Amino acid sequence: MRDEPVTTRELVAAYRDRERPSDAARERMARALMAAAAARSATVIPLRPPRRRRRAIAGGWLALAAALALVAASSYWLVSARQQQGTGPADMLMDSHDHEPAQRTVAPKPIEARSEPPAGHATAVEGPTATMPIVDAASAPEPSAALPIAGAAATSEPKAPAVATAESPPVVEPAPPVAEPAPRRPARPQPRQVAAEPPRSGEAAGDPVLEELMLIQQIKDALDADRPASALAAIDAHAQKFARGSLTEEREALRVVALCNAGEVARGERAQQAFMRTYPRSAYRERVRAACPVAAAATMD
Amino acid sequence: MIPLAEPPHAEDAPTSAEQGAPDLMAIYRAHVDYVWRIARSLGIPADAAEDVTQEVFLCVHHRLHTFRPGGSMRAWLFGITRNLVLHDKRSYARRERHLAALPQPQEASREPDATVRVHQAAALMQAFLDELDLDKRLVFQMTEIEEMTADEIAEALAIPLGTVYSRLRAARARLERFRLRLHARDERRHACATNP
Repeated sequence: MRDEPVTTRELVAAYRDRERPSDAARERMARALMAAAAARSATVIPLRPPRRRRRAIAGGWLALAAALALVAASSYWLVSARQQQGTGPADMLMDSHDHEPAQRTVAPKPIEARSEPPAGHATAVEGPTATMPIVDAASAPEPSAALPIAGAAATSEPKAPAVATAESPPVVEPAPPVAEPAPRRPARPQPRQVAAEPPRSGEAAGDPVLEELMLIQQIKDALDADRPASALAAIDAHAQKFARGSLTEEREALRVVALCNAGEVARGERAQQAFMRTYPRSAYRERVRAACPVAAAATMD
Repeated sequence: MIPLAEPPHAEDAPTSAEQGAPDLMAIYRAHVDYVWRIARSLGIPADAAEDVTQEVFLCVHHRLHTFRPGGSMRAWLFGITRNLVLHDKRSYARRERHLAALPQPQEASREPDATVRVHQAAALMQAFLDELDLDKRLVFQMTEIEEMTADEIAEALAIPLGTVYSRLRAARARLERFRLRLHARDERRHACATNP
């Protein structure tokens, strides 16, 4: 270094020039970013959930089982709590952190709920007495045992779902403190069984809410397993059976994903536009938007 | 300590993504050096800066729809970078201590070569920045190196405009002293070299 003093400008220029990522690092980061953008658009809604979310799903099923057992064990006001649990799948479809529950629009239809029970009634184990199952469910330690009974109890009281939909209960769940400790431990392996079972098994047939939920879960499982065709079949089944179900928004969001995963981009984009029109404020908006890689690529460059 | 300026959240601007949201890769190309340097000045060691920078842009990718079109992109990026760095601060601090225990790499030789001179100038700047406290350093760095406006800096750091200017003045005064010191040292060295 010669004697001429260093100017501020020189210092700044030198610093700016040296203190930055190398070209190789810039290139690496750019590639990683593009890959992340592509990966995100491919897995939009849920579909390969990290381990943490698996647990959340299991928790959702546990809570559902506990609530169903409670419904059987307690009086009518608890039924509304169960209905609250019915919104569980909406939580499961979303990351817990970046969506507000207020954006969700779940509107269960009383007509649907009332029309379902007769269908389930035939398959329900024992419908006639409402008081008997209540006692059984209360004493049964395993939710797997309590589940069908809960379903039967629910179907034997066709007015219950209607009551539940009439009022929109607060998010606070008053019941769990009593029932949670008991079912939680034995039920730990339970959620995987439930999730793996086809939704049309006997226990689900009794309860329209549960059945609808299982169907949605089946769609998600199919998408997880990279079988968009069977996901689409399940979506159609859901659309047929629960045309005005409380999880219609979820179904339509999953439909966009399934169509795009299946490579039916044109249909996927039509479904995407229809979804955006129908649910402009949906919590799944971002994911649905990113569902089709083509559309995502178009917005990326 | 500077208050956290959490970027505005999505709920009040649900349509911002539709209307001309800036493109991720364009943002990346324009601001990657800036984010890198901000991460560095927030205490991230050079070997971890790439990870942090990448994390910042991944975060940008996820939250681009929350960016308010009217706001300063650099201010927004600063908020994200700082939150990420603070979040990971403990692990980085641990690592930093670990690295500090290792011997420092020797400075480049003192040949009268243009690139070496640039290298030394950069090292001097780094040394000066390291002398400043974080508040002044950020203001100085954003002004002189990133060429941000005072308004942008005030927005990024969530401080009043007057504070930006006073910190900048203080930092510049220090730089002047730093350069005088440097010059005096060079003089001494030169004298020492010519008169053994």
